[in-house]
Amino acid sequence: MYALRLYMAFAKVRFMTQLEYRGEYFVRTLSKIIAWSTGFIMVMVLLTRFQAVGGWTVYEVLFLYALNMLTHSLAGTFFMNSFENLPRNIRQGVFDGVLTKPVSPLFYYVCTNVSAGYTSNYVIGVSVLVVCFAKLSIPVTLLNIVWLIAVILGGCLIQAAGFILTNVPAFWILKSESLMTLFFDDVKSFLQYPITIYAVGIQVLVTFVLPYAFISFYPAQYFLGREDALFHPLFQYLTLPVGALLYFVAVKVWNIGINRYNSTGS
Amino acid sequence: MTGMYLALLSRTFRLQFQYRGETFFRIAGNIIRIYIQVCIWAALLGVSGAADGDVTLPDMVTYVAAAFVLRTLTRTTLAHKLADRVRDGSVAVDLIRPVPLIGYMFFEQLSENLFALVFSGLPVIIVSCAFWGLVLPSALNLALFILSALLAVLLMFYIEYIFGLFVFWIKNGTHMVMLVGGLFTVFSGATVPLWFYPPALAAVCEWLPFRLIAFEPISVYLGKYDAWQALRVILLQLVWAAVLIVSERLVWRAVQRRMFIQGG
Repeated sequence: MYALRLYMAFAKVRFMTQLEYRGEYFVRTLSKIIAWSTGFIMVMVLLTRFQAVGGWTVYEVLFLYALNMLTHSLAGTFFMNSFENLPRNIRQGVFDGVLTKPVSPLFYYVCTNVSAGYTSNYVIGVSVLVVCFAKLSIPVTLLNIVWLIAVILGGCLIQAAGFILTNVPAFWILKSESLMTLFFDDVKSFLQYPITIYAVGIQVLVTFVLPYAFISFYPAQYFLGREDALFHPLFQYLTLPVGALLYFVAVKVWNIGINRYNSTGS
Repeated sequence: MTGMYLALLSRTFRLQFQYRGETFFRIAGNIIRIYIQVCIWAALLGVSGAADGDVTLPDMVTYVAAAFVLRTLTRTTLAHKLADRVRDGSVAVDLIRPVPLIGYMFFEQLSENLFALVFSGLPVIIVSCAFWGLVLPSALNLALFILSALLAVLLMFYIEYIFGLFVFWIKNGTHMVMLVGGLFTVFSGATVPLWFYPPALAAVCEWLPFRLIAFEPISVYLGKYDAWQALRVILLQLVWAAVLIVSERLVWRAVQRRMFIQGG
């Protein structure tokens, strides 16, 4: 509970500083809305013309997209600022300060870097999910709602692990920004469409090596009543365990990194 | 004057060479993104037989590759750089340099983009050509494409720069970059050609400059236009360039009236 109170205090300060410049906050919200809705708009443009891609119709693809966007935004609220800037903070010696605090470094580092910029993303993500539920007549039962929340939680953990694992190499090699671009941003763009349209090697990659497909593709199979995945149908239930495992590994690697950390001394 | 710009070009190239480790990752990332697009078009066009109207899969692969080249050439971080300069006050020094700020920034950006085209764009094009095959244009279409691609670079730099000048009011470049990026995605036809747009959205695109930066030059390359239609595209690009040049002057005047220098 002490941790929670501490977190609330940190988060409040972060939100206040970010809201201080009203004009900038407004422009930021507007630009985020535009940047993220363009993805939805392009899917709709494409599938209005072609009806389906790999057998998935427009709202099914939007469902995939919304799951990915919502979990990315929820995880990004805590892990984007902190981990995207980790290589720079290590290089410039800013990270030294994190280690001198009397709380767990991960906790302190994440809490002092919370972002207030994702509010519009939650709204867009949830709205698109609601529209998809309605258009695809997915029954709104208690089980489905609980399951959706579990899937979103699992997805968040996978995304969080992605943020951490693709930036933690900065402890060893200092300049690691391109790792995140390639192994997080670029590889995750496979998820915008059903992975069955790619070669088998890619489906193996995003299932077993960088298991991002558990964020959206496999859980969507459950809600859409599909069984067109290449692997066992059981995979559609595995998002939460996969997320928990990955997050656990990420924290372990982070701890190894911290112990390895030598200040750059600048 | 030319000597100065050449010195800037060689300096930028040397600076970029420092980051050659990054280049490898960028090439891999670009190949992933192109591969995704090719798979999507293969899945979409595959359903309705080999072709949709007079658009074939090789057409679309070429479209994707050409859009990638244009994006590499036109991508800018002008707004970011302007914001950094405004925030740390170095814009004060920029104003007393013997080269105009806009000329300096355009040329620096162009040098970076040429570097990106040679060292991360070219390998990607070679891979695309080897795996999926690209449509080659006639000599005339190629010449017209190069001309309109150059104008596309000018248009995009001006658009991004004008949006970037608003950092004098809002002090942060990131969101202007996102905003322009979003408008570009929807209205340029870089990801989905305007042939496939619903008529209402295509009509809006007609009135905006973004399609002249991606869709129109690529259509010229693919030979979808005869010579006269292609010249009309280039003429329209010139008109838009004039509009943007005048707009930049107006915004710049407003900036100078408003500017105060922070720090120093």
